[in-house]
Amino acid sequence: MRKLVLMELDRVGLVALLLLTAVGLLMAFAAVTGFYYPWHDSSRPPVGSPEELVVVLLVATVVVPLISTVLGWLQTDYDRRWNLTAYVSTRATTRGRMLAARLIVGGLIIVASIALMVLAVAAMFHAFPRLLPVDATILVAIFVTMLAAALPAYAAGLVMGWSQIGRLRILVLLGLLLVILLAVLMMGSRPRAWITLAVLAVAMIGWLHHRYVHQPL
Amino acid sequence: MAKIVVEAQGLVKFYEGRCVLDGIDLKVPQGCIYGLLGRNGAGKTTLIRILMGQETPTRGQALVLGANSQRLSAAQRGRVGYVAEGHQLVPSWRVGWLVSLCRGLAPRWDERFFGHLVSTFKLPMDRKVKQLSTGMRAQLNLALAMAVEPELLVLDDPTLGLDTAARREFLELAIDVIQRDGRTILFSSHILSDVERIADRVGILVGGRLAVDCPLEALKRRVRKLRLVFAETPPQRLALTDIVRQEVQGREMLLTVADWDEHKQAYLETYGPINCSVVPMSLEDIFLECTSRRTPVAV
Repeated sequence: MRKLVLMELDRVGLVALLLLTAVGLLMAFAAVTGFYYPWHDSSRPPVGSPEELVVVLLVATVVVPLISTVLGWLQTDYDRRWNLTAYVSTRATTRGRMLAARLIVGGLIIVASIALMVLAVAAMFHAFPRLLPVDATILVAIFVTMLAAALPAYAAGLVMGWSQIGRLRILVLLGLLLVILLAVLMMGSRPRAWITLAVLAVAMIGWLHHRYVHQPL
Repeated sequence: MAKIVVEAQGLVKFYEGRCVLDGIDLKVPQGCIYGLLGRNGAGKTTLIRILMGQETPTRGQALVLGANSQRLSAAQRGRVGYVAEGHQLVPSWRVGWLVSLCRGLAPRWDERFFGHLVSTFKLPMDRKVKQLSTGMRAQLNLALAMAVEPELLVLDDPTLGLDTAARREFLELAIDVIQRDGRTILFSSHILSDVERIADRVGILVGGRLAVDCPLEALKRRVRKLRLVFAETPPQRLALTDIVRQEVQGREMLLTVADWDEHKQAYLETYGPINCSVVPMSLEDIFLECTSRRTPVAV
């Protein structure tokens, strides 16, 4: 399994880097905004506000799932294009293990990106205690929603990459995915929305597992 | 009785309504070098892909090392070496990384033997697979399949793309592998001289059916080509079973018969030929007779 995980990391390292960089840029923007907020000097005109941090995080809630879709799509599209599974599955492994390694790597990259944001926000709270007026429960809800939205988006990317479908259909699927995500977000960052997204992710991964394990190679 | 390493039980495969495999029953005993022959599209690759779990049968089942080929565990796969048709590898990978992956996945890895193969074939570890020539890809594929010390080696047209010298090296390697205890090789090839050289059992697929499945020597004994000369025009129809091919030219008849025995010989003599001689047949001759589109016959 370790070798399979390394194989997946080797292939999607660049996308992981992209995802982490995007997250880093967003957090840097939030940090700079927070830094310039006149916490101590009320005579300085405000450049940023705690609300901007929330806005940045809400933007990240859309950006992270989109990049997750690209990550999943690249993982399986690369596989299908280069017959990776067709070769590796003839060695001492199974397709189930290969898919598990892929999901572990994808999941870890997504979780690591979100964890990076959590760390950055925590650091900002530590540096600027006056940010605390922002309700911490809202931030937690945003992070959980971000993760809950990223997982089905990632699964959708995996499904799209493995299915031999045209670009137009991919765009339609992406649009549909966006509509679902927005609809769920409108339900609010509440457990009901998270459960809906988790069920969506599990359903797509289940379908992919069936196709991946049984499809002729 | 030798253990059966590969077994097909009533394998049927349809592709888009076309029957590619039509009730294949096959047993490959341990320690056997089984040569699978057939014309293009006869179903050799489909059969091998089903055995390797890359294709599902429409009906029937295939057993590899005693387990259903569709549900082989990682440990069972580790006991099988496989070279796919066309030397399928991952083109964008470096050779070194591919080797490291295969080594990492394999439960057993003969580093000394692999090193020997790499130096024999002069394989560059720092190049990408797509930068290798077809022959080098074939050699790398063979080296990776053989390094895992497989109990069963499945090779789908392994010498495709190899020059004569490399083919000779491969055959010697195959013999080297088989000489280790209990190793079995199942391979398909278009080069019948290769099959004749190393196989001790052959199967010939004709139109999705296994027309021939017997030891090579028995096949050579059982299929007989005769040149019969008659005093007048030869009979148009012979009341003889298992005629593979019959050609008449003037007073001469060329007759290929399967399952040849003394009863058939005695019966043939009742037609009164003035001369009857045996035409020597190589495996290639037998193959061509058996797979002739006019008269495919089971041997």
